[in-house]
Order: sequence, then C-alpha cells, then structure tokens
Amino acid sequence: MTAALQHPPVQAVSEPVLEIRDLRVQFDVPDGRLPAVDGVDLTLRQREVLALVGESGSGKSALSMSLVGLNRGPRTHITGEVTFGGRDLVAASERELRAVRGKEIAVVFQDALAALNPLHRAGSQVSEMIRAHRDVPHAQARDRAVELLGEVGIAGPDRAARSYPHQLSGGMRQRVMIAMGLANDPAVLIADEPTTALDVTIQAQVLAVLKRVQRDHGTSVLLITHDLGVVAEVADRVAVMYAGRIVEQGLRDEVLFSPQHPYTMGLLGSVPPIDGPVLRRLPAISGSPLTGVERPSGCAFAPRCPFVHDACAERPELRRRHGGDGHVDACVLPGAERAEARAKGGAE
Amino acid sequence: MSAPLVSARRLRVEYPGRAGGRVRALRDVDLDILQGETLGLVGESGCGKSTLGRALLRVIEPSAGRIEFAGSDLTRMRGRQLRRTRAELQMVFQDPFGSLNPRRRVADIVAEPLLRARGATRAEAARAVAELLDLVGLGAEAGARRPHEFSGGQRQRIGIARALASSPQFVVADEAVSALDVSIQAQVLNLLSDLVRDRGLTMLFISHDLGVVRHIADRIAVMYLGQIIEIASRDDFFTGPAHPYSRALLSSVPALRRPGGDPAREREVLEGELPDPANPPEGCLFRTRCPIATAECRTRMPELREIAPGRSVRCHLPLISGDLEADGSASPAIKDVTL
Repeated sequence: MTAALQHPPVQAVSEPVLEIRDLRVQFDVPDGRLPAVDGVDLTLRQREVLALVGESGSGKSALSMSLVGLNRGPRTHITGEVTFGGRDLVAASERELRAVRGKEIAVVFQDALAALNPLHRAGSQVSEMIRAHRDVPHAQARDRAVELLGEVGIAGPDRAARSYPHQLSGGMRQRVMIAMGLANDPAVLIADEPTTALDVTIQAQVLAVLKRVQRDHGTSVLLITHDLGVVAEVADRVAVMYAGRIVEQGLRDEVLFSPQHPYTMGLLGSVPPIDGPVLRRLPAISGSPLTGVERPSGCAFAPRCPFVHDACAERPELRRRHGGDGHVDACVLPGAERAEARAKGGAE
Repeated sequence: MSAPLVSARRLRVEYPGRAGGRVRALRDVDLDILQGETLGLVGESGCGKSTLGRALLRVIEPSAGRIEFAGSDLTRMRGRQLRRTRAELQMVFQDPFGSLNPRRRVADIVAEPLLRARGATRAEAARAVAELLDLVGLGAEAGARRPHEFSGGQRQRIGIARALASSPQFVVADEAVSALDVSIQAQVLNLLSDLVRDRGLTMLFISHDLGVVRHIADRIAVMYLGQIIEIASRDDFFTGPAHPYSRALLSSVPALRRPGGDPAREREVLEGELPDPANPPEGCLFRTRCPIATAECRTRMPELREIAPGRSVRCHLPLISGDLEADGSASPAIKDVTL
C-alpha cells in the first residue's frame, strides 16, 4: 500500500561506472549542424540514480542515446569519450556495442508500445533479451522472464507473459520494459522518461518499482526526465542540461533546494507546487529555448537570463563556485547576486 | 457566491461498446460552473473529463441530460440561436499544432469565430485580430504568418487568441498547457490567468496536472470513471481531500518537497488500475482500488452529497466529516483514517 520513495541520497562517493568526457553530438539538418550535445562531462557512479534534467531540445535524449550508439547514422557526428568497463563506447564498433546493449547497459524508453514488438508475447520478449546475451535453454529463460515480470510488480506474471503488448495497460507495458531492461542484470540502466506517458497513480507505482529493483540489483541508473517532481522522488544526483550543455550538477537536495544557476532557479520557479502558498503569477523564464544551429559563443542561457553580465559573453566553465563539494555550475554571477536571484525565483 | 453560468444536470454520454454493450463516458453528471470562476477538472486518462468539457459545449452531443447556459437550455437549442450562443462558448485545445489549420494565415484562423459567430465585417475582424495578437503577446505582425512558423508555446497563444476572438463568456481549456515545457507552460499559465481576470471569463480548466490546477483554479472537481466524485474549493481540496481517490491522487504526485519536512515520507501508492469502463464494478466505482472499502461499497453506489457548504463527495466513508455545528456553521474535520 505505501512505499517509501524518498530516501536519503547516496552520500558516500562510489566508484564511477560510466565516464563521459567532452561528448559532442551533432546532427546534420537543412540549416547546418545542430549541436544537440555541446561538450558534456558527466560521471555516473555505482549504485546511484543520476537524473539528467532538461526541457525539449536540451539534448538530454541525444546524450543518452549516443552512449550506446542508438542514434548513430550518416547524419550524426559523435565525438568525445564514453568510458565504460575500460572501453571507449564512442570508438567502439557497432558489433561491440551490440554486445554491451541490453547486457551491460540497458535502455528503457518512454513509449513502451512503440518499443515492444507487437507480434511477440511479453514473456518471450523478456526471455529473448536473456537469450540474446546468454546461452541458456528456452525453458530456463522463460522461467526467468516470468520471475522478472513478478519482480516488477505485475500481479499474475504467468498471464502477463502470455499477453501481447496491446493487451496490457500502459503501466503494465512499462513494467515489461523495465523487466527487459533488468533481464541481464546490467551495470547501467538508461531510463528515458520512463513514466512520462503514465497517469500519476500508475507513475507512482512504476517509480516505486524502478527504485526498488535499482536498489535490489545495485544498478546504476541514468534517468532522463523533464519532471522535477520525479527527480525529487528518485534521484541521488542531478545534472541540469540547457542547449546541449550541463549548466548545473550536484546532489539532489543541493540542486533542487539550493540551485546556483539562474536557469535551474527559473525552471524550479516555473513549476506550480501542490503545497505552500499559491503565487498570483509564476516566475516564468522569458523567451524560448535555443533550437537552431546557431549558438552564442558565451553562455547559452544569456539571451533569456535576467541577470546577464558582460562576462557572460565568454563560455562559462562548469565548476564549483558557491555550492557544496561536488555541486558545480556554469554561471559567472557573483555570490551576492545569486542569493538575490534565488530569492526572486530566478526570473522576472 | 455567484450564480451558475453553466450547469449540467444528469448529463450522460454513451458510446457503443463491444458486443452490443454501451460504454458510459459520462454517468449522469451534475455540475455547476459559477459566473467568473475557474473550475479545475482533474482525473486520470479515460475518466471522462475531456468528454464532459466537450459535452458542455455540445461539441459532443449528450445522450441524455440537460445543459443550461446563462439560464437557457443549451441542449434544446437549434439553428441561429445555437450559433449565436456558440459565440459565448469557446475551447482551447491541448495540441496547438493539430488544432490550427496549417494552410491558413494566423490572422484568418483567429478571425474565424468573429466572422462566423458574431457576423463581424472584415475590417472589424482585422482590427480585433491585431488587438488579440497583441494581447496574447505575439504582436499584430504574427497575423501574416502560418502556424508552422511558431513554437509550441506561441501556437498555444494563437489558440487562446482564437478562443477569445468572439468575446466568449465561457471557455473550456482542455489540457491547454500540458504539451508545453515548464518554462513555457508558466508563461502561458500567467497569460491565461491575466485574461480570465481582465475579461471576467468563466473557465473550465481540464488538466491531469494537480500543481497547474491548484495554481489557476478557484474550485476543483475530481472525476473517476465518468462520475464526479468530489467538488471542493481549492484550499479545502489541497489541504484535506474528502474522497479516498482524491487523497491517493494527491499523494501520487511526485513533488518537490522541502528537505527536513519528512525525510522518510511514506507515500500512498494506489494499487491496481482503472477498471474497464465497459465493465464497471457493482456498487462504488472506486471500490476495487479503494483502501477503505467496506461491504456497503460493494453493493450500493454512493450519491454525490454535500458534506459541508460548497463541498460535495461521492463516498460512503468520506475522509472529512462535515457535521454541522450548533450555530449552523460547518466545521469540516479531517478524520483520522489511515489509508
């Protein structure tokens, strides 16, 4: 009935499992090259849930898909390093990546109906995921699949295993996706908006499942989301992305309750809360996110930033400025002005 | 309290279901939307909230029941009278892309309700459109462009301008900000609340997002499986919901909570899923997922009843008791019910 979703974040700094260095993902578009990911450094540590937060077009999905080469193609240019298990995944061949995907790094997508094969039963999709990477007999894989479906909280896993995706509800399909993701006990699970399409009561169920299996299996999760509430529920650490760059990163509570970057402040201020005082007007961020191929040479948020300075003309580095250890941001605003900015909700 | 501008009485919408059955999308809904208020309508997918919004405007024809608008029976209106009344009733849709004709100029899209419903001349319409586009923050020059040239947030502003063009009294906003990124959503919400205030609009604001609804609505109505299960003022609802489903809904919202508030917050996670609307349970429709359901709930469907002034709930065991005090004033007390 009840589930403790919120928990103290992982405090002890664990070993890195995935290290991203100067990752750039560019797409050829009619106007030129779109810098979807524009030089990102990010480390996913063991047993943590790292939330990558951003709005549409911020590059969060492009980043996560490029980690396992899911967006490789003639119009995509990926550079930088992604170190995982002593290998560089950016330099890895498609064959090498196939061995990693689904086994050591699994992906759970938002749209389970599109991601599942409509012609195969749920159970066989999970067992095929097992057999794709391990030489086990059919019967054994099938038993394990049913076990996994039970583990992700499906009542009557036998029956669900025999069902086709269209016979399952959205929440059930998303659980099947998580079961597939866990099938080979991966070190890393990339969950791209895994609950965005679900209603809140079902979302709460699926988040609880995700959190529980993450802890039981000791999986490291890179959670891609636009929903700051979801971040508050399940993340240990948070990285905020804007226009292809990380603008702030730190422990969950540091970023959510002591934001340092004006974009983070504005984003947090834009979400109308379900408790506390009701504001007459929301402190909205003015303007729109950058979507074109042209990017400012300096801070990408400067055109929308109410606290823009002369110094913003240079690209700011992501480093510790006014937060705690490990709390870094890419804003040159001096300390006193930040406090003032935060008091105003980060926007006009 | 002001008088109702829009009222639904035993409003029913049915669709043919499988095997000759009927799916009841709206089950005899009674609802009053008061002059000048914003009523937030919440519930999960398939609960009937969009159907209700559309049925109130007769975009969907109700199978039974009655709708009153400003004292006249909207359900029986025909021809010119209906057309004239339609000018008073407008809608803002969720998908600003799908709801705007891509081949037409923005000025023509916005002018259409004015020309059609109000019989304005071209010159009058052009002037009004320029003002409206200014009002929603796009600027009159936007009129010469086409929808695809605009971002999602801007397209939603076009949709709002179109809805306001005929100077309606009543607007249904159906998930009007749901498709927008939060920074843009906040801009559009601010615009909507300014317009409601400045123009004295009455609005039915349909949304699955409880934070957004809390921000904009004066009162809240909750739907489950085609029924209204709770109606309350915003503050009453968010501080102490009376229906177990409302409470679960609020508890399910993943929300930013301040540190030090409740570090090991136990959250209520509702079990199970929405029953098949073609095959609803006997008795209370929520009982299959309700943590406090009793034998009575299995056999008898609760009525929507007023438990305190302005506060109605459809539950045999409401979480709030609305016993009237000796002096006649209500003091809804939050009951200590552990879910």
